[in-house]
Amino acid sequence: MANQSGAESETADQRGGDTPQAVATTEYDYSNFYYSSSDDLFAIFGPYDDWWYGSARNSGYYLFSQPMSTPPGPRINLEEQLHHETLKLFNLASYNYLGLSTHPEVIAAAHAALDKYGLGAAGSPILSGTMDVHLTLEKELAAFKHKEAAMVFPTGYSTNVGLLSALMRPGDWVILDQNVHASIVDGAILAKAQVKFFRHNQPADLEKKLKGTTGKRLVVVEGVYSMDGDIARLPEMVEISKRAGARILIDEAHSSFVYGAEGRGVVEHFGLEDEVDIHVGTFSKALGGQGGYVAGSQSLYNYLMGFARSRVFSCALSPAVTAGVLAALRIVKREPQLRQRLWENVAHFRSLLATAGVDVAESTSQIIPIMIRNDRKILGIAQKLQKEGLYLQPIIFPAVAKHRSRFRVSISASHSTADLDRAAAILIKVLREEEIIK
Amino acid sequence: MSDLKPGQVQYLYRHAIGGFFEFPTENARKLIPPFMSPVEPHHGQSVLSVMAFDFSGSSVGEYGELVLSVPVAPRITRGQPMPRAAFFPFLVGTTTKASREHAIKLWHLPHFMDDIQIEFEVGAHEITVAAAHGGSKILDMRITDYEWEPVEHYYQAFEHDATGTYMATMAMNAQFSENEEERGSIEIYPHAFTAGLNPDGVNSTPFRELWMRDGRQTFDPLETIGPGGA
Repeated sequence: MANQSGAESETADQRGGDTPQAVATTEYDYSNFYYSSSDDLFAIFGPYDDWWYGSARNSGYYLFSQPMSTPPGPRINLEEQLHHETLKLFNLASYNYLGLSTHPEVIAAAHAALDKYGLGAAGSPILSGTMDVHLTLEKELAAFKHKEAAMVFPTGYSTNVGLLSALMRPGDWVILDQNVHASIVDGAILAKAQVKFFRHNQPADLEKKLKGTTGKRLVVVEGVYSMDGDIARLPEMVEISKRAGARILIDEAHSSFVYGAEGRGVVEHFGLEDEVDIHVGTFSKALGGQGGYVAGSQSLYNYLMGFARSRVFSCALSPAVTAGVLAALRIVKREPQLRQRLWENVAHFRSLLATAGVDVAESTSQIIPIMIRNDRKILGIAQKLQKEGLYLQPIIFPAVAKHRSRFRVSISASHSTADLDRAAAILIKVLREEEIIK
Repeated sequence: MSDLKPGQVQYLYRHAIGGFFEFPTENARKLIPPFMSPVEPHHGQSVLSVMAFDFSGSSVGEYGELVLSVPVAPRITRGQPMPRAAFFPFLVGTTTKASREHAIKLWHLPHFMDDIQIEFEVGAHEITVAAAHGGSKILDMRITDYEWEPVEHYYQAFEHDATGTYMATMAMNAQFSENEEERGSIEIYPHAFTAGLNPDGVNSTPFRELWMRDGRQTFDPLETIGPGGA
């Protein structure tokens, strides 16, 4: 395999195992290859390939990005990438919290939009890319969120990047929970704002970090945190931010359409919808689609229209996806029983785990981390789970702290009780065999 | 020490402990040469590494050492030992004059030019180090353990003075424990030793804690990698 430098072009595999001893271990991870002091941009590729082909891939990194050949439902076919076989697995790894990605109405709406509009929007939202279906989604979403306006972005990532870089300027302060999504951090970096991180979900540390900041300040939290499944201590965060005169943004990527009596998110759950200044969410989790949104005032919408560069300079969300998301939103409004079903499933699965003594850390949501706390064993356990018929993604350093490796379970309303019982049985069996639980 | 290759220098230690503390990159950049890049675990936040050694054997006898450094981008070369991390030590303190002169001569390390006092106290699952100078406290640090395992890790240390820019490559063989459980702590006192730090900006809880015991530190010969400067 040739690398792009043209030099050092063979991989460790091709050199018959002549891998430098120091990289032929599992001692290393992605973090070791982030920086390079070399003046040659591509010099890092050689050592990285040695690590990747010498040990990382076969020891378990191949588990990441394996393709599915079915929808992301409760049962999937996975095209396994080490032995190149098709595996039939129970799926606890997809975000599809309300099971809407395959709902017949959603599929029909997307089909109809595909017939009506074609594949893509063929333009930026501020030029020729806006179609009536985009505006309908924005209007209905704003009404659902009880806000004056809502803006649709092509992805969740571009939502935060566009929003923060549109609002914040050099010298402004962005005060972030240390566990917020990378898109929020990247947006702050792109804005060239000053950034402070407070310790995860610790209001006292937020207060400490706000001290000494002046000028324009934005505090950012998430509704449900994606790696730990815990919920924001929003009442305290809002109170501290308000007292300091800072604006507050909540990213409800994993909590909108799921939390609250009507599905308006953690803000509804806490009765703080009007206290939070900016509401962000995605369509790729509970709605099973793609894209993101910002909800707030009409003035915020107007300003973002001109300054959210990630939206201005991207093609608009595909009309087929937009129509599917719109159908999913209407189902969410019409069928609260979907949320009820989700929370029943969450309670059922949690009870199975609790009975077996499985460590789920601080999670209280539909995201349940199965704490392994052993960075060396988790990839092997992941392979064993897959072999036993369960699809779960390992989450390892540097995505989480050292020794906080875990599997991230995503419960869906589309799981049947029998699915969950069988999946839990596989999980508990393997965890016992691997002596993670007794 | 008979397994040493020509030019290698070895030190034996009872304990080597370290804490990684986030602190502003703005502060870090004042402590390292402009051509080095501090590692940022979070945007705008670099790492203050505080290491304390309880050396039990060396060519200059037993001594204690306190090293303040900033983790920086390593030099990764295919076919060479892969560094686990790289550091720029910006201030070193030792308990003896002999060890100080030895490290300045061999490794070009910037030193606090007076003896300091370093006391280790080992508990059930934690170790504390108290560093002081002439009755004034420098810092107190507490590090906790996790699972122990024997390791051989490679590290790089960069030095820069008027005579040149240097790289030291070292292997650490020891019983090793590392965690990111945020159970440790540090208290930094106003002192000339810590004058380069803005104590309010240094997190008081380490995001990573390291503890090596009954180990040896083996240095390869110092490499000159660039010119000197102010």
